[in-house]
Amino acid sequence: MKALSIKNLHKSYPGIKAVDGVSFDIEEGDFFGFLGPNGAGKTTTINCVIGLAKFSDGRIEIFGKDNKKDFIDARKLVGIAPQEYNFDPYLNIEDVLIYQAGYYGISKKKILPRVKELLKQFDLDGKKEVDFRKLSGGMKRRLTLARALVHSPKLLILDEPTAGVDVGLRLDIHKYLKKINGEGVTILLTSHYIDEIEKLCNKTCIINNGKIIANDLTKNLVDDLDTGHTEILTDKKSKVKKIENVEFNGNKIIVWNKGKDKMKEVFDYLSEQKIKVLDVKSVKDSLQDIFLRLTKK
Amino acid sequence: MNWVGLWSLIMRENVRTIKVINQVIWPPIISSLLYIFIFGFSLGKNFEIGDVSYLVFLVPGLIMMNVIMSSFEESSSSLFLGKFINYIQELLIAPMSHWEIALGFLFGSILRAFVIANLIFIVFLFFIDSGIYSVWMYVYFILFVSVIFASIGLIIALWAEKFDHLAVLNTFFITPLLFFGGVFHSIKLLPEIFQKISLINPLFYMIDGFRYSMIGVSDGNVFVSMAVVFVLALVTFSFAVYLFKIGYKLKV
Repeated sequence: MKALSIKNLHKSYPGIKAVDGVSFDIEEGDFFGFLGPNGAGKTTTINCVIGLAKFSDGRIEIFGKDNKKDFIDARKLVGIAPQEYNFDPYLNIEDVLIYQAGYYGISKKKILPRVKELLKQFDLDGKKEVDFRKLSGGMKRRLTLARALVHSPKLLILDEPTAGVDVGLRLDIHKYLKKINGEGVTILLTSHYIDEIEKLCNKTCIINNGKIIANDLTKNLVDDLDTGHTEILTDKKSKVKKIENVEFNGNKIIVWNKGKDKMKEVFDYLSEQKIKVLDVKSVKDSLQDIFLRLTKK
Repeated sequence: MNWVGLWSLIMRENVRTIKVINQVIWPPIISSLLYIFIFGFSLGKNFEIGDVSYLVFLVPGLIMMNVIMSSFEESSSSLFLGKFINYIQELLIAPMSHWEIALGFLFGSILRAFVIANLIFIVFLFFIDSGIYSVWMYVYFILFVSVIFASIGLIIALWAEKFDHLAVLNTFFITPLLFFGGVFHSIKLLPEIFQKISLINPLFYMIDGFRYSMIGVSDGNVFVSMAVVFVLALVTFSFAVYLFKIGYKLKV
């Protein structure tokens, strides 16, 4: 089943087309990375999904429920951890979670065990009566996650969940997200740490200038769009020969991954010239290289 | 209907009121006492309006003035602060309908208005020998007047882009209309032309009707006042809900 289905989404602000025909699906159980440079349309797309932005055209379904017509049912299934802290200043930490559950229709009596569990999970149980303004940055980030999870959503949307946290906490958050994803929670993750997406997400979608420019399994994305190459170092300069996807640069020859099948031809050519191969090195693209290349086009 | 959600929002509004009790509950009581001492015990000591002493005449006006002020301030400041520091998003993404959100803010204001009205009334009982002429009318006027001004507070908070905007309505409309609406005087004491002008002031009907509910004396027909208040409550609340529905200045 599709956890999230976005079809032909359009959203404009005066003078700006923020989202221009965006379509993608997230299957139930996916850990879905949503990448794009600043201003690409990520937050606008997410805001359309959660109901904070009005969209002029398109359709969004959350577990089959239209987020406009059936917005009450659709929203029950979603938890969101925004990048900016937006806590109620009149509530302590425990109450932040209790009231949040209340807004989702769950009474205090029913939610208290879950609140205790989350406070413990995120190491906030010693601070439950504290005002959120007195928390450290890392604690605020953990509280944001706990609030997003308190009503046990089936789809969790995380906007930069590890922004501004130290490495230890980042790894703890990764571990926890992997765990709940394994338990069946579908996750949509945006992050500026591309290694985070590469490590956590089975699927990745890249948006730029309001349009989806890549959407595939993260592994496929890295493989298919790979402009990695093999560097061959020789003992002397080789004469240039025209071979597709092969570059001769003096005593360094670059065979782009798309021209891997030309490798034998290259070695035969070097052998004909009696040139010795000193070293062969494979250079692989990371998701970050691919992201930068795609979004700079 | 998300009853738990609605209840949570009402309780959240009450938590807010309790946390700022020195700012919202005690000031209207203190200021009403000061009005009583200045206007009731000194300037109006030997003055009667109709068959009632000026002090007894003054009390309903002061209570209604504080009902109007507090219901407006509660909803406007709570919603505007929510917009200002973005915690309104907690509600906007929750499975709550537009009118459940509007009702939540509204009940918070109504409750505050009732608490303040009754506290002021209890304090006044130490100074005047008076009861409530019609309890159901007393409840009716506090309820519907607080609905009107809580709704107006929501509308203004949605429109406002800075705290300064919240003061505009209070300073330029509510306060002048309150003073011309008969908080401190009977419009029968005014020249005829001003009596007629007073009749187009909606706050006159709120104050005059409420005065009738407390002391059984009014300048106009209490049933006209009740009708005006009911219609205004319906119109203002519907408009506030409509603005929530279209996400006016809430959703981009």
